[in-house]
Amino acid sequence: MGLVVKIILILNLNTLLFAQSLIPFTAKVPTAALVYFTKDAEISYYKKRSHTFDMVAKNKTTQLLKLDEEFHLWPHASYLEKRIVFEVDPTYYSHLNIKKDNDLYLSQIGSNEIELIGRGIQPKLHLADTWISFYSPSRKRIFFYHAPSKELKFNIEVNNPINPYFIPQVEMINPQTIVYTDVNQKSQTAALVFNPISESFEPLYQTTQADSFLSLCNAQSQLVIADFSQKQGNLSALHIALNLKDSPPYQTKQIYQNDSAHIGSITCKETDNLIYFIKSFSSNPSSLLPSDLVRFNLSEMKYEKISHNSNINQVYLMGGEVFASQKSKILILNEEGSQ
Amino acid sequence: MFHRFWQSLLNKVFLFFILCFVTKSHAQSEVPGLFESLDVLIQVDQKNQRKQTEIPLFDRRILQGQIFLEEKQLNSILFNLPRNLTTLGQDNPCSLIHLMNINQLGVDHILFFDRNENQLKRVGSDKIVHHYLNGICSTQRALDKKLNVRNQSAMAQIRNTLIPIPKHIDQCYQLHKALGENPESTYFCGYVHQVERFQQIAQESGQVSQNINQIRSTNLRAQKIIDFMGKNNFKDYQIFCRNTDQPRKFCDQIMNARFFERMAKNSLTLPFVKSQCSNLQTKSHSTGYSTEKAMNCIQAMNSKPELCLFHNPSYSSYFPKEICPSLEENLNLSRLPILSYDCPGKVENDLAIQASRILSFFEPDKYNYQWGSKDLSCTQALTVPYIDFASKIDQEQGWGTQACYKNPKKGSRRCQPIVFHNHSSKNSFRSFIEKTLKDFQTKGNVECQLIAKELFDPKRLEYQSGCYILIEPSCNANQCPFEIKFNNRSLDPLVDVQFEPKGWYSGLSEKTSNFSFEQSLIRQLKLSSQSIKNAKQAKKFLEENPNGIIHGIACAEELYPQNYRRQGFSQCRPLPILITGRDRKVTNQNENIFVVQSVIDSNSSPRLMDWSYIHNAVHLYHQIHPQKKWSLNGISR
Repeated sequence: MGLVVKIILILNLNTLLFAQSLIPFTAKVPTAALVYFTKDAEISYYKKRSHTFDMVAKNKTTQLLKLDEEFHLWPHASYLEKRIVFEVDPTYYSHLNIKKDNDLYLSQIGSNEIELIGRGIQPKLHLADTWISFYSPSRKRIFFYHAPSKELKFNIEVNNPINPYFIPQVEMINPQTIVYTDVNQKSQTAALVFNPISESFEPLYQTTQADSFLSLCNAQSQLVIADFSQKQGNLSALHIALNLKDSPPYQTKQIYQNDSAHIGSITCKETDNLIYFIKSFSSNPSSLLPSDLVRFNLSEMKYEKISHNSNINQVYLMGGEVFASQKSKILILNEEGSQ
Repeated sequence: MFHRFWQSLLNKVFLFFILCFVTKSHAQSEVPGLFESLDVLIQVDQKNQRKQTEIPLFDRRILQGQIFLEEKQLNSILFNLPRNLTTLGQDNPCSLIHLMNINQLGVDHILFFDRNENQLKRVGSDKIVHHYLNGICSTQRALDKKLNVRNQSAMAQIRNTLIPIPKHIDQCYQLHKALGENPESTYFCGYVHQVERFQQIAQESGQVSQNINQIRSTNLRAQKIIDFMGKNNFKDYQIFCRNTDQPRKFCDQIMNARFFERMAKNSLTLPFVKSQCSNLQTKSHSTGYSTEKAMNCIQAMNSKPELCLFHNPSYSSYFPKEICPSLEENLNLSRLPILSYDCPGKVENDLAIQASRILSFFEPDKYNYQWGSKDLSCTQALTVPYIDFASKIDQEQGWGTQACYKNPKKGSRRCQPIVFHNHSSKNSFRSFIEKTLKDFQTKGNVECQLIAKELFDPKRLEYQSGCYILIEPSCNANQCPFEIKFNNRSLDPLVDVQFEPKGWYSGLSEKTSNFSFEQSLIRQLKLSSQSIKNAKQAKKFLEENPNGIIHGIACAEELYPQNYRRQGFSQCRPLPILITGRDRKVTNQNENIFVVQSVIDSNSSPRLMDWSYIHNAVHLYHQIHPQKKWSLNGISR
């Protein structure tokens, strides 16, 4: 393809007026084809109509994958951009099944080599991109792949006896301390700490409300647990783990609480102490709209609204950048504007 | 027809009400009439007070009519009818006669102005009623006889003719209209009104005089009417009669108040309730499940709303669901029939789930499955309709699970699509094995049973002979590690099962479009299809097509952001969805909230979603589609 990718960020007047730091994201190539680009825009990854997946670096195109039929894939990379994992669904259109395991490929960013590391979903890079965790719905196990040794080192069997669609969230504090979410027979979700050496499990936090959803993230080495409810009137809260590096029993401390509906998971960068999430500002119990991006500052212990009446329903990290979905548009967080 | 007939006669009939109006039947008849608000009638009424004693009794000539009823006077009559009966009276003048007959107008005389004699006349309402029932309202006379509380022979029929359960809100509006047009409704509303009055009198008597006999007698009269109509009918008509002119309120009440109750009382749908309350049941309850116990379950649901958030693990699907009141409301709004409780978590083919639900929606009689969670039976409704359809259009690979048997003697190989469940339907694995065993068994048919592997004990006598298919707990409809024991011999080497689905929901090219599920569905079922791109179109489609639904593919990350966490902008886990209704609550009229049934939710737990989320989810899938196909379409017959 040989395209030099220039990512163009267009500032929309409305966005500037009403949302200081979220701006529409546009690229010179259709975002449908663009899978990933590095922060310096030097390296980018594309899916092509010819069943191929290419990398473009220094104006040179390299084919990384060629599959037999129409497939689809999406990336996961951390802010470090050392390694990148691609979740590839080779039968994206011919076998619809949201519970199926996909192919997971790992590559060093910029490298022409790509390797299949396992079958599962929701891969995540940990500990300076040296570990990759992923979940296999068919085997109900979380696998841990060690990139330098190219080995699957251990796995955790997820209990979850009732929800076949549940996807556990995983954070690695260090190679011996892994925090993940699981569901018990009584439908309660909990965050557990697993030690792969002793193969022991310790409880860290358990939801208090029946319809709460737990999500985890790592902000400047602090593990944050979000206990969110999507129902107006129910409590949503943020907690931080206090003594994960010590011995159990582990403790948590509540740092935020609100009774509006909270949508989706929390997102945080490992490099700073800001937690992003979406909160409904609706007065109608049947509707979640308007819903806005909110940022919680761990240092100051307070939150601020980033967007205003924006109907945002997803916030996510890609290569350390904060993105959001809104009314069929992709938005990116403009850091400078937000400060 | 009846309704139209009477509408056309409306003006003619009013000729008979020659300048008539109604006065209160109270002893103090000098009290001015009921129409003080209207100038003309006030004047007439004043005359009435002066000439009341002179007014001759009923004169047939006048009722033959030469003078039309003024609009203001008609309005006056309607104005003074109880508000809820206005609609009935307005649509069918004979209804007024009936209401008068059962003393619901609160009048016993009609006053009218006789132009021939240039004076006001008073006629007893019983004479008016008699005249009309023998004349223009003769149909009403037949109804009078049939629906008379003393008519014991009609009682059973009336009690058993229940108001049909609307499947969704649009059907409910149709029901409201039909009830309004049915002349019998006037009778039932009259009875409801009478009962309410009796109850009020009994209550007031209790407060004032504590006259036990009077209270008892009034209660008995009320009870007699309720018995005649039947308790359920009475309750339903009570809702209708209070809301004859307010269809939305009628539907809100009749559907919301009764859904779970109706489910519990219907033997077909009873297991739905059972599935909701399974965690309340003791072991002894699990075998028998009576209506009484179901009603206890309903009470539990009403008092503990969070009971509905989770489900019996046998009915595997996404959770948490909605709290009981929301769930009940969503089910009422949804058009999808709930004939069986399904378990999408046990099917590894989302195309089959979506397709089966659509096929069952359009051809409910063809795909009417029994309830049950045992041995994967709950997958039947999500698999068999699609397998049947796929085989009809020669796309069997769309289902993907195929069993093959190699005949060791002939060397031949027989393959067919199968589904792992314990039913004897032609595509069940059990039937496939039973058919295969005919090669071994010369006498009679063999019946096989799917049983949990852990339960099989070869030493026990009952397992020494016969056919048993031993399955693992991890089994689902598509994939299942199994062992076949026939007379304690293993047949495993002769049978193999593969799972390689290849089926397109909609086409990626012109070639694949032709045999995609979507195109085949439209062709085979002769459906019309229209693209739905915005909330206005979605609302319009649902309003104009009460028997249609909207289907498409969306990104799970946008609809279930809690569970499906996005990692990149190209990420989209494709999720087939149906839009099966719209939130039509008065408070949400200006909102764009729709009922969404996705393939990860069981059919008993549709969700309300804002259009903004639905559009976002469909748009993102559209963007990555190779042909930029917009997937959301309304389909109807």
